[in-house]
Amino acid sequence: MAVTAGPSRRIVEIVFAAALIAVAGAVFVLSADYPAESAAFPRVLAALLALCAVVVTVRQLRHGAEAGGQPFFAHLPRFLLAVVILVAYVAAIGVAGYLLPSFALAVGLPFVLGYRRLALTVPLALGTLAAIVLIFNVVLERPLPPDVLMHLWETVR
Amino acid sequence: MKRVFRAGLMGVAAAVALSGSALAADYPTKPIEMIVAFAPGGGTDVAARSIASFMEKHLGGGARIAVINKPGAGGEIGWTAVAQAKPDGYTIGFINVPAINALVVEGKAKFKMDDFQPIANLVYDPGVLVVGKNSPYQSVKDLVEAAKAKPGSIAIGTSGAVGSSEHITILNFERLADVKLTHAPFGGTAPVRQAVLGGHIPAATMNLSEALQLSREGEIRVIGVMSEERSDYLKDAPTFREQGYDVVAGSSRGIAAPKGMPADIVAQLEAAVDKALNDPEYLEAAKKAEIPLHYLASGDYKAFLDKSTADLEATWKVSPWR
Amino acid sequence: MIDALVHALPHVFAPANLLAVVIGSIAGLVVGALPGLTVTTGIAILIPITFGLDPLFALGMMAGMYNAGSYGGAIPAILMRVPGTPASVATILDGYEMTKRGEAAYALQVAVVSGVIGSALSAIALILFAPPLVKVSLLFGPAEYFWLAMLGLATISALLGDDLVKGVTASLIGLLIGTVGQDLTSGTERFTFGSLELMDGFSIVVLLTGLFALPPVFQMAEESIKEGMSAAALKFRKQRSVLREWRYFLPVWLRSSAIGVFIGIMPGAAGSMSSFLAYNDAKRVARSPETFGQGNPEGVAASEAGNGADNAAALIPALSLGIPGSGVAAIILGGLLVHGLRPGPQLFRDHPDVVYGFMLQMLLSAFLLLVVGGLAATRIFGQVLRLPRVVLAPLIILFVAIGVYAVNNAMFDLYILVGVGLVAYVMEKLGYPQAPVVLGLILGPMAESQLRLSLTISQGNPAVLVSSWVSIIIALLTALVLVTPLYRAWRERQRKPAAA
Repeated sequence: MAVTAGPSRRIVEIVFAAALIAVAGAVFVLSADYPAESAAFPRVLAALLALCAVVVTVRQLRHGAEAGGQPFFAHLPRFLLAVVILVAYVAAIGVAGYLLPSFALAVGLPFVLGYRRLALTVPLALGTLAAIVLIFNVVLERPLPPDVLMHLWETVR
Repeated sequence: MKRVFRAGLMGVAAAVALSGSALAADYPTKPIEMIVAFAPGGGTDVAARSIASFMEKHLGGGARIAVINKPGAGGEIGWTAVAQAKPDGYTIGFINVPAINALVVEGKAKFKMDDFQPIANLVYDPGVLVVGKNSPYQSVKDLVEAAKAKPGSIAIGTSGAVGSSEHITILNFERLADVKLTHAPFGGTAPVRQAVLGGHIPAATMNLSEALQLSREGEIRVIGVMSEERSDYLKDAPTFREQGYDVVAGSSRGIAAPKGMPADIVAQLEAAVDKALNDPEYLEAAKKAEIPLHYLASGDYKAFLDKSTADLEATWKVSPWR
Repeated sequence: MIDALVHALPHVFAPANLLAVVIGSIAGLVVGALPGLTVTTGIAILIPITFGLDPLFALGMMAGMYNAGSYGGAIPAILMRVPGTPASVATILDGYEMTKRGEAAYALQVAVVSGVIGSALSAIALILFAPPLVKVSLLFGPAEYFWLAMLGLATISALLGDDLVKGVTASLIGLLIGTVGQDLTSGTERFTFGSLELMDGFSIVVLLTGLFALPPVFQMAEESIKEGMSAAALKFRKQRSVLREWRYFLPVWLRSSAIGVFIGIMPGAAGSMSSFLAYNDAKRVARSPETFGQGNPEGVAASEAGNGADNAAALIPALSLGIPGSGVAAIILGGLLVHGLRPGPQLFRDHPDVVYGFMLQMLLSAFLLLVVGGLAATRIFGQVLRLPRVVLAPLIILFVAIGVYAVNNAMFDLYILVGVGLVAYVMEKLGYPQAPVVLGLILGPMAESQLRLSLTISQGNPAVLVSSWVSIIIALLTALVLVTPLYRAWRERQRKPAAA
């Protein structure tokens, strides 16, 4: 249990509020370079945002002890896994194109999360990709991200 | 492994390129990408999609042209993509004068005008200055006098933002007429037209084709056309020149490719555009829609591009728009 | 006009043109339901194909696509919490809650019927009241638009959720995101860090999908749910029938449609405003506003009726003046031009059969939607939910990823998507509502730029903001929207001690 617990809700609450204050500060600093009329609106927003974030933090510090004790994540390792897989997926699209990483994601993510009926996931992944290529690429002429499969196809031809 | 493969391919490509005519004879062997630097549904996009199907027909041999939208940053993203593409004839793009030259002159863009191989110009739409039907201004002179009486009191609406071609035109006009106007950017043609019609703004600039119908109906008044001569579409509207202000401006759409494209492919594409523009079916649709077609072959188009850039450079020196 | 309508009827019901509306509706449903694809894209691709065809064939396809596409966004919004357009965000609020409760089929039914009613009423407004409505739209200049944006922002008060501070924080986050990009009035590039991709600000579709579609995926991964929804939850017959409950929905439909038509005729107003304004209005007059956001079908009905009513109305200024009231109306104008139909009063004189034919097609396509969208499509789409969630989630990502990429054909947007998704998941778990982010994002830039535009035109004289009666009325409406919830709270407090 200790492994899966992760930070408490209260900690995340305060960290998020702190991040908002940091963003507000950054906005304030960055807009110093802009002409006054362009800087005014974002600066007002940043000030209000920081104020709200301070209120949230103070509330947590004063009352949060009882309510904020429980862990924030239901299952931290699985969450981190999902994040890593998603980031890897998007990065892979940039390298290898859309089709291969998508197939890997559609089959792989359920697999690592414990759903192992490949007889369902593999045809489903193939069918979905076929539908996507048909609608986006063939009918509507929207290009897919440049794909290694396409290179292969062209060299084979 | 892949690199070796690529190198091999390049060798083959080079060999084929040496016998240029062989390549051109086969061209195109795969779909040509036509990059449009604006979102689907915009004026340039519709123009591109319309002409693409006719170019396919006149390129012959089952040629395919795929229109690819790369919108963003006022066209800069798409134009950069064209400039940086491989000049193998399979990437061409629509460019818009003077917006593209303005980016170059500002020194902001990652490309130079020399990075493009002009293919052909298709459309030239002169700018116009319009007022609402109840406006007191009957001529450009009226407006100039009112502006002189109270500098800055007259706001001119444009569809663009700061640094757009319409803004640059206003700056030019201010200098030539020695007046102070206020530029009010609406960021779109629909809102600015609505504002003129509703009397929310004293005057506005737009393209002639956008003003035709409303002006014929008497909803707005075109007080100055920014072309050398009066337009055939709107004979009654005087030019700026007639009224003593040498303002000539407009926007054009044409097709360009990355520089270094084989001359025979340029010629093939150029011919395809020419034939497409003269296709009876296209011509009829264009006529009905009153699209101001203005074909310029590659050489003339280049001269036109160079002149536009030079003009903008001159403007930038006296009145930078940023 | 009656003559023209009667004259146009046989053309509208000619088999080929009828078929065009059906094909358009099916295509519209698909592009509307897929994130990243829009009706605008669909029609843009359609236009060159329709060269030389009968105008009513081409326009029929556009009419079908328009109405069906605007409803199509509701399907993934309700079933999977994927908003195809900003307009579907208001539908998500209650629609997805209903799905979680096992009322997916009913929610879809409410959405489609409400969409049909909104679209149909809007088409009727287009046919009957175009001239006076155009006059209304001309009353709106920058100052009036500024107040309209403020009115829209005031409706955030209906979306704040239980925790006021967090609701306000979320709105501020949205407003701040909205300032990214080139500032229209002065040309300053704000918070772009020199990136070209950010010059026009964040792409709204990318933010929407990140905000709404990704958090459930993370949640699914954490909980690793291996079951799907039972078939019973997706049966139509077992659930309530919207048509039988028409009396209950009628007031919501009428009010929302009126709002949708009003926003539709405004070229400068964001189209998604109509669904938010309608949602807010429905919640404001509802007997139990606290059930909104927890799966109240009235919320879905209001949002979708408002959204549908935006459609044909946006054509009113487009056809009569050549000023499109929405992005889709703009591209339809392009389609008209290709057929030599130039918008303006003369269009009604010179080509009455085509204009009135097209208007009838808008009406017809609204009703066809009931068949295409209501019966066939929602049954098919609904079955998707029977997949185990752990299998469905990655498939949603496939569609979201390609859709987000298709918006600008840029990898950049995919990275933004993941980043936004992560932040949104944390926000959701901490109880920050997402809808205010969206509204701030859409209306903030409108409010700021219109305010600065009106001040530019008036040379800095703030009196311009209250110089017309339209401005004053909208400003008062804004105040009303803000005060209503406060008044309600005050009355509740008054009543409670008495009851105790």
